[in-house]
Amino acid sequence: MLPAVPLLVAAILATFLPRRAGQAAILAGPVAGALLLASLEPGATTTVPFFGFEVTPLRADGLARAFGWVFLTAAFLAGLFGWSTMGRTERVSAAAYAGAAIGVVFAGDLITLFVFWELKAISSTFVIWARGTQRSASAGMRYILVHVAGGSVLLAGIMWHFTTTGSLEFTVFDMAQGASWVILLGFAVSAAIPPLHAWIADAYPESTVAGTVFLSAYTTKAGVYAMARGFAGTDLLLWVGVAMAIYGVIYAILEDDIRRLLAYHIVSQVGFMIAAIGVGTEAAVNGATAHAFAHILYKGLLLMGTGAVLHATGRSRLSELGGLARSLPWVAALYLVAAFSISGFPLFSGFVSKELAVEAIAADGEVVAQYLLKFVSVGTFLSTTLKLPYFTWWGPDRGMAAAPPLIRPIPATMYAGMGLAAAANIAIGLRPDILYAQLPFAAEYTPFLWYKIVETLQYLGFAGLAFWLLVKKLGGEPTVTLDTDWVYRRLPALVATRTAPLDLASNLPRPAERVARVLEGARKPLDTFIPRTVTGSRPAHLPTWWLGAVVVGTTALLLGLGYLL
Amino acid sequence: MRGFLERPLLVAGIALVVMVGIDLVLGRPIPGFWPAFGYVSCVILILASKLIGKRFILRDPGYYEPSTGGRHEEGER
Repeated sequence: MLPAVPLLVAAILATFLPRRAGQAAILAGPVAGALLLASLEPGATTTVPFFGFEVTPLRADGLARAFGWVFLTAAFLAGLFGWSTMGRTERVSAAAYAGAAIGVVFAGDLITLFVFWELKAISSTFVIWARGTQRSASAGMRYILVHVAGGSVLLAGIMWHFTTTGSLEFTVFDMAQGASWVILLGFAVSAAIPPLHAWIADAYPESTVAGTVFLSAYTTKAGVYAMARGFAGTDLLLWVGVAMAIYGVIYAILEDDIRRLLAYHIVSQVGFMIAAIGVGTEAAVNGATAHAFAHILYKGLLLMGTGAVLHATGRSRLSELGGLARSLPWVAALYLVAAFSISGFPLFSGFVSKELAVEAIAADGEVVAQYLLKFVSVGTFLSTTLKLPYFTWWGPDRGMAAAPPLIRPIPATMYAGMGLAAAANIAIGLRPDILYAQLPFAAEYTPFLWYKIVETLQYLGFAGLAFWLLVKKLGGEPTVTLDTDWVYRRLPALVATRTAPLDLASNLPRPAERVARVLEGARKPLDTFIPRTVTGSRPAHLPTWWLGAVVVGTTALLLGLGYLL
Repeated sequence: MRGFLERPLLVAGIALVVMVGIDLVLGRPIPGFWPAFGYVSCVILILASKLIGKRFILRDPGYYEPSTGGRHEEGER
């Protein structure tokens, strides 16, 4: 049986069960999924007929198993962390989301892949909406529209691929085929490759504290998995990955919101994985897989730590935090385990995974890429291990520590989730063979060589000195960062403001005027209905219908193109 | 001791000398390369990102919508 099934069943049960029983189902789902995965023979496949096609909902080869294990682990840890805070909508959608992502990694054909891909997009949108605020409603709308567009591109690519090759098997794509590039574009949306990445920093921080932990594990890593499966060795991806890593880290240094800062680090760290996939050797695919595995564990813990801060203080901006070390010492300690992991400190999980990926890139002769990725590692250390903890726990107190009643107690289950995640990061850091045994290819790599440890400690240590020298320049200022989402968040409003006095509709030729009026008529009920179902109130300003119109048009165009081809 | 620790440039200089010494003992090809790499990379990242941020990226918190300052919004579940 597919390891995704217990999670999907848990989602259905959680719809009807009372709170505690529903939450228990959310924890039982990944445990049952892990038992199923352990019972599967390596390389096991299941093929079934489906409307005249042969589909393969289960293909448990090495790559699928590696992602399957970490997806199941993440579902359990995030469910435990959110035991006390998750509402019904969140429980149901999070379990369905985790199940869909696991369905993606075990899909052996493109039909199954697409079905789970779309289920993943829809269920994750509800994880964002579950916070129940106006901002989460708007961010969720933008998120689903971007992912519907990405899914439409993927579907068009799949149809084109099928008409060209006659095959629906999900395997390595031939880059000489145009369809392969369309499929790659569809995967790129999910992997958050710039400029298609802005949804991640827009939507993830607007979810609940546990919801963001779930979100950090699945969507981008499903994109990484799909690329590792279908596009390993595509040279372009090496430099796309390096650019992504630099882009994400620069934005993270500038960010004031702690969860948005970590969202940009997802972009940056996925860049390491994409770069390794671009190299495409067995060692590099192992490196990408290992780094995805470790990344899910340490990123989950980072977002648990910042989520705990948000839960306790109701604040998430560095410009409003500070001096929390006495109030939340254990949160700080557990967060730092994840921070040292993402920074690639020896004896933590990120060291054994990042080194594997970067060394594989260097072994392929890409020395410039290797040094650029080390440069990014310095930026990662700077923003996650120095800037964020300093301004949250040890920096100038901005009134939080002096007002103890404002600090809400952290539930024990939150600490339990963080503690287990920290233990997993330390265990992998101390015993990398645990991780390497899960990789798709035999891994013969020794991370603990003296020169690697010394050079890592040297460049990170001196980055720390530079931070000390320039700490005043990093002081949190209340700002937002502009990114490519400006195109659909701000530009339509600017255009509308400038064109409104012209009464555009009355100046259009008659057929265009009719279309404009129909679109306007269709927009109003949507504007009213969608946000009300989530927040109970209608946002004053919702420009996302512009994007919706673009998405619907693109979908129609691509589906028509796919049909014709 | 506290006065010494409040002089980061001095501390950095002494630490660099120690690291170069370690590299010489260990026979590394370019003694002091990785400490310098870490230090210079960090300075470049901070200064470059601040410059890019001020010119192109950073805006007032209410740029897209009225800011809640990162606090829980009313009605949050």
